[in-house]
Amino acid sequence: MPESVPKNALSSPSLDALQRWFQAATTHPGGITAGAQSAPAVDAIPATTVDEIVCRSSRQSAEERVAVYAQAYWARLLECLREEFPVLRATVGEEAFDGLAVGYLIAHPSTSYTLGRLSETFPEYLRSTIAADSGVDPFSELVVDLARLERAANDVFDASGGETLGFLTVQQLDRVAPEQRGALNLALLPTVRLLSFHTNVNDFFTAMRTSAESAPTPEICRTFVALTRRDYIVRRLSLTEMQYELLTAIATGQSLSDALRIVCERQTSSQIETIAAAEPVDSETLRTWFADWARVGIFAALEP
Amino acid sequence: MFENLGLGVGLRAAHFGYLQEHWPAVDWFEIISENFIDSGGRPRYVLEQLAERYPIVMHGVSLSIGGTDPLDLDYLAKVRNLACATRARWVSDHVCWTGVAGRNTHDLLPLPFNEESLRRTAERIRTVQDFLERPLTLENPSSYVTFQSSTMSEWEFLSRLVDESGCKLLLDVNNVYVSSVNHDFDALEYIRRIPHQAVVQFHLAGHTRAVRHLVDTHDGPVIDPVWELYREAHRLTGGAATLLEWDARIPEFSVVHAEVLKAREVLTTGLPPRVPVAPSPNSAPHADFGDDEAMVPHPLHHLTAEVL
Repeated sequence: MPESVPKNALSSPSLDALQRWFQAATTHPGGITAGAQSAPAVDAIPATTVDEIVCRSSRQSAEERVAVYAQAYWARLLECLREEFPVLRATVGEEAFDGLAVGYLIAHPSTSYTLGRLSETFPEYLRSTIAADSGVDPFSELVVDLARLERAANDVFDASGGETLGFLTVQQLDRVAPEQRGALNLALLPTVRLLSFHTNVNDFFTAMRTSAESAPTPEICRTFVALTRRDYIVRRLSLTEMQYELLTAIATGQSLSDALRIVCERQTSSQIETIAAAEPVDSETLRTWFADWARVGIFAALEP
Repeated sequence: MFENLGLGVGLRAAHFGYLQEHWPAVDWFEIISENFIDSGGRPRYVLEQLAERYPIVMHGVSLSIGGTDPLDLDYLAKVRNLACATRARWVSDHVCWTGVAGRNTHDLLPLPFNEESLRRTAERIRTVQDFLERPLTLENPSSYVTFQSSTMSEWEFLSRLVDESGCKLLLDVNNVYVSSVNHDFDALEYIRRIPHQAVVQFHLAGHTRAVRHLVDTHDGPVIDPVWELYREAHRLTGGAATLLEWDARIPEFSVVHAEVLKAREVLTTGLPPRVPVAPSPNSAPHADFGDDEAMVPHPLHHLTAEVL
């Protein structure tokens, strides 16, 4: 019998109570003492000390041993969030990022079997905290936009994509008779994310990848980005508002001609002239757009 | 089903490019199941290519077999599907729980070793085995606490768990060493008293020495006392598939592979007796006195995107 197994186990909480106590003690942001005195811990095992539940070792007190798990809990989850949001972290600084991340983990502890979902609601959390605290200011909006962009990139990274489902090619489009193109129902690949932002986040992201000094000043402005993946690398494509709306309409299942009509209805009169000039669907402008989109991998291959 | 696959390496994203370029002569690979069960991207693509060339074993970190929340059948279905798709030789996880009340701490949390935890865990193992339609293999995790409510040793718990559930054992020799230092027990006695016939796999890894305990960081080479324990475990069990885990500060693939290949030398000529087997936190030869703040026990299953 090892020294650390008690010869007479005096306190025997149920397994469920012990686990609830242990989780409460090791995941409390205030540390072990606060965790062991928290409501979930006391509800699980009332009026007890750490020593009554955990054995000490020859070198560590019971509380020090439990603290190993507490420290690992925060370190592990912070490590994941830091890795997932490198540009956001560089933008706000390490300390501020950790503060935001800890706040998020307190508000939204993981309930999934995979760490891939840990940050799923991080952008919304930031929106509800920083943006709400500071009103509409460019930097706060940029922080939320960066979180949305980096989170979406992680979704795109691991989604099923054109590498296995097949990409639409320009040649496939060219083989469709001009009079039939308007009726085409193109399918966006599961790797595509169409994002609208409140700042110049895409330019900022690009600059930060090179050097923080070259990053532009955050500005409030509507910008649009498509994320997709080709050769298993996540790619960003800046979109105009019209392109964003056209792709969004296609993504909802509209045929090309219906999608164009919807876009036209949403544009200003001057823009309608532009899009009208581009019609029919095989206009040079549209052809260029679709060729670019096919090249980066926006659409799934046409059914044979 | 549980053949000795030889000397394998844990598949990590840092090595994807190298593996796809060189297809090195490795006996087998072990994957962290959670990194692949939802993947439609590069991880899954690389895995499919590897599965065509090498035996694959699946190793999970979120089963929570010792937990009290209901088993996650959606997760288990995904594990079963991936095992089928990769023709996984076996599926393993840990003798632990990962969270309660709907939460996942993403850690391998320790169980008290008593009749209740034994009964409940054995029952859940049987359920999982029925669901997966194959025996479950379970690993002894490193641990940092023991409980007042324990009534038996870890090796007794494992022996009875095998008897009552029919599960197999993945003996992590480094974990035995880490826990033996942290809990003041004799690692050699542990190795000698587990049910040897149930051991189908070994894990080897490096660890980090904190001020007053060891942490299972998987961030360095295997230390000599762990190699000595491995040699004894190999002798007692007759040998089993052996895998090296390296999860942090990951070096190039050739370094990781070379580390597990040392097992051949250990089993034939042995290592020079530089340190005694009996572990002591004050004499353990791992040179890296880690900063407690920076140490994260592994395995940690998390992949991040490559973005242009």
